Amino acid sequence: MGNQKLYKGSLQTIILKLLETNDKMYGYEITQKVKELTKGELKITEGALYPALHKLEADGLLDVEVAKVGNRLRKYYKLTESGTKETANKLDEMQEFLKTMQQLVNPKFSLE
Amino acid sequence: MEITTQQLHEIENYLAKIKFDFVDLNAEILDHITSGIESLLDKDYSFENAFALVKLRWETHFKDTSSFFFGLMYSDSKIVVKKAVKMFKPFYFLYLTAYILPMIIFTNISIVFPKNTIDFLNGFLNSISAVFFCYLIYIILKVIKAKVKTTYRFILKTQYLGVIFLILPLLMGNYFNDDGSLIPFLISFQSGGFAVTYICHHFYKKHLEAIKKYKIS
Repeated sequence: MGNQKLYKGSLQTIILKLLETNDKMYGYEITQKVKELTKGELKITEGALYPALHKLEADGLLDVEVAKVGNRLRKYYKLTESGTKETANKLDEMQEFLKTMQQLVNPKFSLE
Repeated sequence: MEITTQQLHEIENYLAKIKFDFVDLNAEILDHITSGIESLLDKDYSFENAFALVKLRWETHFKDTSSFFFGLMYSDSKIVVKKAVKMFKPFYFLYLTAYILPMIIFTNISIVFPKNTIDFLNGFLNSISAVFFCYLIYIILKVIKAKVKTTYRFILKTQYLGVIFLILPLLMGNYFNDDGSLIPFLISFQSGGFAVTYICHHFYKKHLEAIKKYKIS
């Protein structure tokens, strides 16, 4: 298992990217999707997921929809218009970050 | 495998027992816990074992905790406090600025007002303070009376003491020194009081919105 701390600063970007691909998702679904996509390498804890989701919602990047599913209520999150724009910005930032890290950890790459 | 209504009640009772009854979080956390149990039921766990395992994972998020932003005397479940901190942080800095900035300005720059305007200005400042004070008391009473718990109500509870910032200038009644300059600490208190009232107004609105959203659904 990788160092979870390294992923901490990228949680919002991960959530936004997932919602960009999946239209609307609920909390548990997000944790399972991340686990599945990273083959168990990254496990988002509930304690980290919900404050991040609520912050994105408060910032107007996510919209919520509450629906009755089976015998209980389910809260779905989806991107707002500004959320879609912010996702593109965050992904660009992430690409830049990865490029810089690549140059730092792989000197051959930076000499080219 | 979907859990039965009776099993769902068991989970609801557990949440009620640990006093996790925040309407803006309850449905979401209940769904998360239930989904976790259902995935274990699919792996042939019994409901009792699955519930015990999921409870163990959630225990840490329900642990009573406090935050520097609200003070040690206010505590609740970790997941509630974490959400509250994320919502409150920008307002905390607004509140600090509203309190500290007038203190710095009026301590360092002496603005002297003509004696014939002092009575009018005192009356004006006292009137504004009285209006803000009444509105703040109105919010406090409404929130206490409603009894419905939301994360925003938790934040509001931590702000009640801010009423002191409005009471003190009102009791003093006079914001000016004999030479006609403003008394910095009273202006700071009043400005802090205005900030607290604005913060309470904002979170009271959020509190009402949350009740409407999740009670109707």
